[in-house]
Amino acid sequence: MADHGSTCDLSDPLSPGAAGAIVRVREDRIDWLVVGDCAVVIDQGPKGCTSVIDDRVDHLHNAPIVEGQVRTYSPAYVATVRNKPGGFWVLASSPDVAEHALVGMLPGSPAATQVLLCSDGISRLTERYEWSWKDVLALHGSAGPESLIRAVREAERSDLEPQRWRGKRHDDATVVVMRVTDA
Amino acid sequence: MIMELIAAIEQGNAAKDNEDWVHVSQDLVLVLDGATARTDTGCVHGVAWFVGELGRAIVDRASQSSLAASVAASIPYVAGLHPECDLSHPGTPSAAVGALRIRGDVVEHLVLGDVSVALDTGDQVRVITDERVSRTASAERAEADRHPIGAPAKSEALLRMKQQELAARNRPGGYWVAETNPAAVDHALTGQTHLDQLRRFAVLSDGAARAVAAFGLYDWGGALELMQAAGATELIRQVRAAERSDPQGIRWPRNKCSDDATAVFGLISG
Repeated sequence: MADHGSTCDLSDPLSPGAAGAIVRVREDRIDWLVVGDCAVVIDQGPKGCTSVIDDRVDHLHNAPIVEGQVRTYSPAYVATVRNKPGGFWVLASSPDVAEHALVGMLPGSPAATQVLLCSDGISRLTERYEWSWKDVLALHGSAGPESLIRAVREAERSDLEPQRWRGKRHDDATVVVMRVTDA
Repeated sequence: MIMELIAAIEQGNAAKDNEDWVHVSQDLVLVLDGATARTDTGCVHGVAWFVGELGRAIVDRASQSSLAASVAASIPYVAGLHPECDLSHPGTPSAAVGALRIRGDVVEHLVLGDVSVALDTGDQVRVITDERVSRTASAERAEADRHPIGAPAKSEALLRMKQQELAARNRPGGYWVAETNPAAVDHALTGQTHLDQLRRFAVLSDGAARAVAAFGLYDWGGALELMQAAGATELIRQVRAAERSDPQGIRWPRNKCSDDATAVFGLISG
């Protein structure tokens, strides 16, 4: 905030914002924070996997969608629900958002065999294209993180009706995987 | 312009801290490799702490300043974070730095110590790597290379090698790394490439560059090809497989079986 507070209007309800996912791995626990449409997936091996995804932006009550080249919410509508109770939350100019982030902790040494973090450019695989997180982890395990980005692009290219989704056909995509190996 | 960036970082020894550090964003790639401490360091924080603080300080500054200026300013900043430590200790924590910074249509690179940067312009692969450290302590290095990994004589020889290395660190005629003196940056290898001439690039710590330099599994062009086809993780996986095939360092004499390994690969298209 301090870096651009003197030149920009940070009280603007559409001031630049970002989704975020943070994972902190300690010897005896994993902590996470997710806000906005990023995801954290915690793989506990045989015990299964758990995903933490903040999809409040997709479940806004009576949200009007503007039909255009790309289906989207109007900026005027977003201004009424972004970083507002009952709306959705992103990292923007107010630290209050931290109170509304999805946070959690899982104990264990190690608490997980691997943890995957991704932006919504990747979670399209589960949200749009019917992949399970298990599928995502399996492809990553056999062919690495770049294979997930390629799978997203392939799914997007072969989507015959990309305009049915809210948002653009191709989004920036980021994936990070931390694997815990035996000491 | 579309850029695909892939980074892999893997500890060499699960029982020890990872002393490599990586940052990847659309306009900055930074790889740090902390020097293994074999002697006292005079610092209570350790090498992993040092590389993390130095890395974050460089990232903060690189949005405003050139790589050389960012590294030069970060060195005294990190020194200022631990004045209670003996920063004049000859074994004070240090790190090699390899970086690429994209500003508009210019790609700036900096190499300080033994992190390698490879720039593929289509007609040639330009590799920026600083081998000055491996030209120091040559008699001690040769002696250490004679012994298998794990042998007591190896540890003794490595300690003598380290002492000789430290005597040459940040000295004219020796080698240069980031530790407490910002003047080391004057000895970094720096340069610029036009973004539209660059097809792909890689930044590798020496633990990953073993695939090319030490083990000769690939030449630099082949290593870039492998990372493009199969990813940065695959390069490190193959390094680990080679290491496991020679755990004592008989075929490929080296200081430790596996080193922390970092590989960042960038593909530019469109």
